[in-house]
Amino acid sequence: MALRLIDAGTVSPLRSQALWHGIASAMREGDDPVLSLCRPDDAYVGIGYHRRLDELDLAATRRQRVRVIRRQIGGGPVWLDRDQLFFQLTMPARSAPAVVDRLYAQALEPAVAAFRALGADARRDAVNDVLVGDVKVSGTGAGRIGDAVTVVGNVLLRFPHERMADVLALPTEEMREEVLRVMRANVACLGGLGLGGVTHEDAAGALVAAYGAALGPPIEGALRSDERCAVERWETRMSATGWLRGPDLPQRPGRRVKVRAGVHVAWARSGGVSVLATVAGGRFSRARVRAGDRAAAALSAALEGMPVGCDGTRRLLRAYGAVGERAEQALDVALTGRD
Amino acid sequence: MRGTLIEVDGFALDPGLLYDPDTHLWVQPQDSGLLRVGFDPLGRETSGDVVALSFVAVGTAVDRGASFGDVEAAKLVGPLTAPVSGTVEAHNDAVLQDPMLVNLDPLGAWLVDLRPAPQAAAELARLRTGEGLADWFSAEVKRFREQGMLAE
Repeated sequence: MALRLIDAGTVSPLRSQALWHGIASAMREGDDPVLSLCRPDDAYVGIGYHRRLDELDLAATRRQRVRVIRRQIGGGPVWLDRDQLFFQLTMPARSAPAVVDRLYAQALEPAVAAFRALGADARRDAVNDVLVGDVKVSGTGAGRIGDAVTVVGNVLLRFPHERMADVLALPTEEMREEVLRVMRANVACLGGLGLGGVTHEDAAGALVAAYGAALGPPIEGALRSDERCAVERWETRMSATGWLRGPDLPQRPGRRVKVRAGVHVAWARSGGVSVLATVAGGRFSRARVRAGDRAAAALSAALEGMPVGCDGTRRLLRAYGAVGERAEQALDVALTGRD
Repeated sequence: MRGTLIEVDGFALDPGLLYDPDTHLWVQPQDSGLLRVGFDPLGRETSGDVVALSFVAVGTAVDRGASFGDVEAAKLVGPLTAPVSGTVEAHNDAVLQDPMLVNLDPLGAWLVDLRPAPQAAAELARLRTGEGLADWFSAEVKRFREQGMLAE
């Protein structure tokens, strides 16, 4: 087994997604694994396969002049731009670890080593987060495409938290401010970690060295002709309106934005009471109950630090009478929604 | 309608269903002639918790081995592969609304109904059911454990 390396360099947003979808589509049993690298020449928003397009504020994407591209793998909306380096490890499904945790371990531990080589004390956490301290430094995901499995990630050299928060469709501006605050606290770029001097070339070199150390010396080359055709087919597919619209998915009540594993901001309303809650590590780190009632402010303060979903928290909510009961209903909606 | 369940190595199986060894989906012939399809407990367990499902449009014909939809489970998206050939006649809207139902009850939470294609009869004959079902499933559990796909 040899590791093929395809460094596509700077490409269009569409090619930056179609590249690895095409490599995966063309992969056959017995093929060598492929490490592919690229960076988009313009900003865009990527959205996971099983996500409704209305999770995005499309007016904001037009205002920011960024297109939206749906990917075949999961996860929520992500901001992608030229200040990032994308990496993907694609391997035949039959030779990839069948257990998701092992798949991510095999595919992401070299990326963690690359971050360390760049000066960031990274570690893998909660299956597929790459963290430095308690902040996420890479967005990752995986999917089976054809006969291949692909694990993808990125190195954030710089990251515009405000632009990311701006393109999300959120029910209130208060939630947008909270999502932005939580994102700033939990998602960091190398620049934010004091590694602003790291270039794309540095990041690419570190990734190639780390994946080479783990999977064998990489052999750099170009796309095969069948891979090139598959990439072009994906570009056509991803440009179609039907693909962008995505599968028919039900609309869910409330709104929940995952920032990293175990950290999310959720909002829902029930009977005139709305709750905006930030959850970290299974506890409410912040809560805002709105009910036009003085009890709501007291309940907001009382919820902070309480564990999510436990009997003690339910008793606390019910101690606040009708406001607490409605808040409990809203929280049930908000916290069972999709990330 | 669900039959009496049997337990094999900690997994509940309905001996009235037909199980596909390749996809670990079950198939249940309906009185209407349609074929109902769902995850078998091993398929569900090794996928991890299902968080989202999508299906091809009603009226789409799929061959055995072709995709009739996609499942997002445990941080991985992958195709749902048809255990028999047929035309999708119905989706289970309940699992589309709440994919957790699949995690809670894979034998009850059906995915789609297929109108069988002519070759489906031969394909159904290859699925596992009746005598030997428990032995086959137990061997599959052992194989999955040996491959590290199931906790001991």
